[in-house]
Amino acid sequence: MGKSVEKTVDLLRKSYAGKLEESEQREVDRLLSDERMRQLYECIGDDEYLIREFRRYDAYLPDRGYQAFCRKIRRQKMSRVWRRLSVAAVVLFAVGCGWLLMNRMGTTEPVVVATSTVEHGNYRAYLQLSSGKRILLEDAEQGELHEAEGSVRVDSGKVLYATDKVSQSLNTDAYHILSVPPGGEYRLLLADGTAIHLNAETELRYPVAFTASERRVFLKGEAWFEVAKDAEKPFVVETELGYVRVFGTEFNIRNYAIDHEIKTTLVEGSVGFLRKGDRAEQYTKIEPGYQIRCAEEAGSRPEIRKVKVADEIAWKNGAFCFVRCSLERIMQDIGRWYDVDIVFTEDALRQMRFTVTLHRYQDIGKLLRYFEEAAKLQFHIQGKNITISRK
Amino acid sequence: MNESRILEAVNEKQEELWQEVFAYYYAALCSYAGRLVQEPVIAEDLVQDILLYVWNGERKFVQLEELTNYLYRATYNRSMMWLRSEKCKSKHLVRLQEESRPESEEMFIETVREELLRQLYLYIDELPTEQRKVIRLSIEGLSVNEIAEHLGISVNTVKTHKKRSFKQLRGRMKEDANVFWLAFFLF
Repeated sequence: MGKSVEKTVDLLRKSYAGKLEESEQREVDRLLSDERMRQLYECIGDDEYLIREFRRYDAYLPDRGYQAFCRKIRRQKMSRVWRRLSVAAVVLFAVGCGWLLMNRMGTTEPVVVATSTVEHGNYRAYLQLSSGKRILLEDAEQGELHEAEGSVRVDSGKVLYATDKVSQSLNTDAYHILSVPPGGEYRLLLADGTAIHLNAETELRYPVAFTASERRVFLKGEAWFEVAKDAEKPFVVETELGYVRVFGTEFNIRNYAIDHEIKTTLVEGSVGFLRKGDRAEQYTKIEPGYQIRCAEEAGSRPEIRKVKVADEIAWKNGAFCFVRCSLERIMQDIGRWYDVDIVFTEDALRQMRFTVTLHRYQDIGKLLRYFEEAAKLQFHIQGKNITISRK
Repeated sequence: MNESRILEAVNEKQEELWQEVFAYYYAALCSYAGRLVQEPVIAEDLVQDILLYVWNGERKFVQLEELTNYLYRATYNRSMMWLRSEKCKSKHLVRLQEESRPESEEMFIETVREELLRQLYLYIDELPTEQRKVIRLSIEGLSVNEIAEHLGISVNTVKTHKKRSFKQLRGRMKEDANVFWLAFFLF
């Protein structure tokens, strides 16, 4: 580089402070004879420029970066350990097989070690057919259901509807309901090719075939959508609060009853939101990277704000992402995923704020340890209850 | 922020101390990479790669300045590498062609810019409480009137705080000079 960054930075700052010595002043003058350096000097001297730049800085959260970094380090360590372990495992396996053979059919019962009754969520949902029949779908479920309204395939965490025209024309207005209990998530591929991923405690009602002039589904809870393009049949998601109208796109809707608001985050394409009771021309539209938020209370208007999309749909990729979030909100999400109830011993604890990204598929004890260490909190797990107190 | 702790974290590979390394450099390096690659998400990925590379490497740093320079240079190189690999996409090609200036000159000025911003940004936390609040709220996008209302102080006080704080940030010298400057202000 030739020139020293540090020395230049120090000189410029001395110059802003008005504390340059004569020889230094000459050096600064020489620096500023470069047009670009002069521009830079003026930029840094402008308060509004600094505010803009610092706002950019704020979007890069060091804590989150640090956590991602720690995860990568741990993964590296693990993979090193794994390489060694895998060698050991092969040896052990061989020895074990030999031992089992010697003992003929082993009669030993597997020992179940009871640790905690709380487990993270999993692929789990109920599918309710138009006949009213309810089927439990578990993690690794596979197979075909042949119903009057056509066939439905279930494949390890996904419900798939036949997309060919013949089966679509079979039954016109049959509806299915896919409901995911607390501690579950599930994926769905609709007859038109639209992919939907439902988060815990979420219910979606949808037609088996889309024969009407628009594709309409009903949502309670949170789901991510990737809607198949069909210019002639707009896709509409109806919720308690309002409608989200879609024109071939990828987005996330969050509308849990306990949130008292609906949030629609757009990843790609274009969507519009309409509050129930409003006139159709009042649709609020957003561009990718933005979110429409509308509170439940009567008279509140939809607001648009820019968001970090990755944070809003983190759940879909197996993570919780909280940015300056209250502990109350955080524990609602955690409780919903691990299917536990939360008790705060002090109201003040509810308002503590955290910024953190956590892995969803991990033991709850490990996950809570982060909060214990970060804020001197204590979590007591008993059955399906977690009590939070100060240490 | 203790400078020797940053060096200790890097040289001795102390995982807990790396939190301070992130507080010290992360936003600035991401912003630096972001200016080049124009995509915040990519910028964060690149910076993560670099810090992981430092963590895995054997290199020891004697002075903080050496580490700082190293990180900026690595960020610059990685970003340019990424841009070149994306060259086929026309918009970046245009960007690269526009830069007729020699790379080193460009890099020097941009590094000075980022390092100034980084130091100023870190010093926000050292401002007196009320001034710090005014600056933080300004960054969050509140207008002078809104800040005044929020903090229950007059609009003029907000304006003065804002002006004085930024002046202080720019002119604040490191370590000992720092104390002198503060003392000078008080008496």
